[in-house]
Amino acid sequence: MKQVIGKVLYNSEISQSYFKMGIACSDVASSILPGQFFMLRAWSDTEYDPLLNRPFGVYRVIGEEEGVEILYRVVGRGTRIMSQLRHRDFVGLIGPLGKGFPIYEYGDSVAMISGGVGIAPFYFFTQWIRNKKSYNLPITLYHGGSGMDDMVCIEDFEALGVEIKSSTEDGSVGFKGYVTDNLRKDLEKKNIMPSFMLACGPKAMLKEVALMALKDDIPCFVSIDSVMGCGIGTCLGCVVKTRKKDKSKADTEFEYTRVCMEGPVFDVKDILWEKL
Amino acid sequence: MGKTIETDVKMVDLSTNIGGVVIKNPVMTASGTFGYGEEMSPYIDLSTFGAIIVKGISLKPRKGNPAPRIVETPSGLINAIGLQNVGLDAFVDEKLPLLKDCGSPVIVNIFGETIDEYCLLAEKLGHVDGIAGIELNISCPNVKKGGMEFGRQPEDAYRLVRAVKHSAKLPIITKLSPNVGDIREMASSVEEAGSDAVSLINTITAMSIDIEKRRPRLFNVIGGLSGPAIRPIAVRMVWEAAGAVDIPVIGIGGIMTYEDAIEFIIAGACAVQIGTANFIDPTIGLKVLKGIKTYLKSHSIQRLSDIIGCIRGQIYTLHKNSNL
Ligand SMILES: Cc1cc2nc3c(=O)[nH]c(=O)nc-3n(C[C@H](O)[C@H](O)[C@H](O)COP(=O)(O)OP(=O)(O)OC[C@H]3O[C@@H](n4cnc5c(N)ncnc54)[C@H](O)[C@@H]3O)c2cc1C
Ligand SMILES: Cc1cc2nc3c(=O)[nH]c(=O)nc-3n(C[C@H](O)[C@H](O)[C@H](O)COP(=O)(O)O)c2cc1C
Ligand code: FES
Repeated sequence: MKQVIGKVLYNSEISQSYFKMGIACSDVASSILPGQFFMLRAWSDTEYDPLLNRPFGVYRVIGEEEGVEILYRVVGRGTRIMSQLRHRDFVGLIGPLGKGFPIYEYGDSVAMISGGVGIAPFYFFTQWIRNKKSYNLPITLYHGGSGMDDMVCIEDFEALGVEIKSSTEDGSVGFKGYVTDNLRKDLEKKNIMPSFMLACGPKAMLKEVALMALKDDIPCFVSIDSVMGCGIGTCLGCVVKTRKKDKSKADTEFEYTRVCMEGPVFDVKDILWEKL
Repeated sequence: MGKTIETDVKMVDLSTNIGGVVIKNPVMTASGTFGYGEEMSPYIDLSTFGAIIVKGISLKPRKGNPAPRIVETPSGLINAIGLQNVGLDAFVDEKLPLLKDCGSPVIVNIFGETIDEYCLLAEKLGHVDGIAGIELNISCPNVKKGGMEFGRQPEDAYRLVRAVKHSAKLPIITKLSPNVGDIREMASSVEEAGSDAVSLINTITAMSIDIEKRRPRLFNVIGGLSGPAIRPIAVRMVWEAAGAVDIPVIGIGGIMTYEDAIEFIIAGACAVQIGTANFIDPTIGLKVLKGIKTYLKSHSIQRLSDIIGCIRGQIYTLHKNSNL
């Protein structure tokens, strides 16, 4: 991990309140693993309101490892400031941070489950899988949102041979309802039998996915969202409840684990879902 | 050209003695914002600092509070981490080895729930190699007094510091809470109890509410405010404390730049601690240190000590000469 200044290459709205920003940062672009993130500062380090840097995953590495593309959604002050940046503006970056998706054999098939902007880390992950050995691995993306505007980047995934299962709460696209209901339906009917599941999105969604995975004994990893003070392991602000490493106490005792260092990707078996 | 400036800057005398801990420069890290050093070592050379103050340590490990633990407010951060830490034994076995040879003195911030716990911690640390001093966090609830913090009443703080001073071989810096009626009284009473120095301020109790959900933003409801928002309050308290005691005063609170650090020094601080700013820029310590050197050089000041509390006499003269 490094602290660098990146230069905005482009920053465009691809759907209502969703943006893609390309950032030149060749010093760090080559070392990113899928699921890792950066702390980003879209304003000067002498402006203190907003005070803290913000965490963002990497949508993809661009050019000949010359930079990164971030897919983000405007939800508050920091992301609004980001959305106003233009070509040649500067951003502060610290990263790549955290532990990403486990990098090993993914078995016979993978299901990725995303809610809203939670789709962001999966494109880089898919690219990575496709570029490495498992070129033909069947990958399904269950992507959900509240409406049409949340159905972003679907074409990118299709181009990589990913099967798409969309769902919207208002029924405007695909299955009507939650992404987790769409997934449950397919798991119950044995329409899919993934050897791995990966999920990214709101905590409530992650919990549903985790409970399904645990019930069906499917290995599952989730990228947990958490408010971060530092992103580098010093503030202890970002924690989640995890089972104790000491297995004899694992069911009764818990500990607070940093999302920024030991995560953001966790094995669903390690999280205390009932307490989330 | 650049080289000449660098050599000249190096000639400025930045060293100070903080109650028995000799420090090469006045820039320290604030407890709870620099981990145990290992987290920061990828970004900054740990030998940069006058001293490294580690996350508060208790006798036994502590889990800390449920999330949400932090919330951002205008130019500030409210935290209710709940003093999560690995405990004394794990600190000494697992964390100290990296730190003790890092090139900066290590000061261990400690807290307990009873006076005995503080004393035992201080005594045990006295037998450990590689520790230069102890910083007493007195903003911890005293279980024997119904949870009233040691740092709220001068008498309680006095009793605590006196007891710890008896158990400890190491220099003691008492870290004062700003959540008190009169900071001068607090500073004086811990000085009288034998504290070798004081550091201030710890965080200011604060609260933030989500009006949409009509819920407190922190699980713990109340937390401690840090960051630039608290700086003017901290500067005032350092000014008052430095006027009340003869022991060294270390300034803390919202330091983001070298200018902020100089402001504390002029108010009477011999050294400063950088806290929340580490979260935003892990190399901030080095930037502040370089800035202080350049400031002294460009103002032809030979020794840092020449400006510590330098406005005191001046204000007296100014006021005496005014006809108001
Ligand atoms: C590891 C990680 C990777 C992330 N990757 C991406 C990404 O690729 N694209 C993307 O758009 N977002 C991502 N996020 C979320 C992103 O960090 C937040 O949306 C952003 O910090 C909000 O900043 P803001 O100033 O706009 O919002 P604020 O003004 O701070 O907050 C606006 C609202 O959003 C809520 N909020 C703020 N931060 C978070 C958070 N971290 N999680 C949940 N709710 C939050 C607040 O409670 C508030 O209700 C990621 C978060 C993490 C932890
Ligand atoms: C996340 C966080 C954790 C902290 N933990 C401790 C601690 O364990 N012990 C302590 O004495 N002070 C602790 N502090 C207080 C800081 O050391 C410092 O006094 C305070 O934050 C004010 O300085 P700042 O504005 O530069 O951050 C903590 C502060 C923050 C923000
Ligand atoms: S965000 Fe600070 S420890 Fe994780």
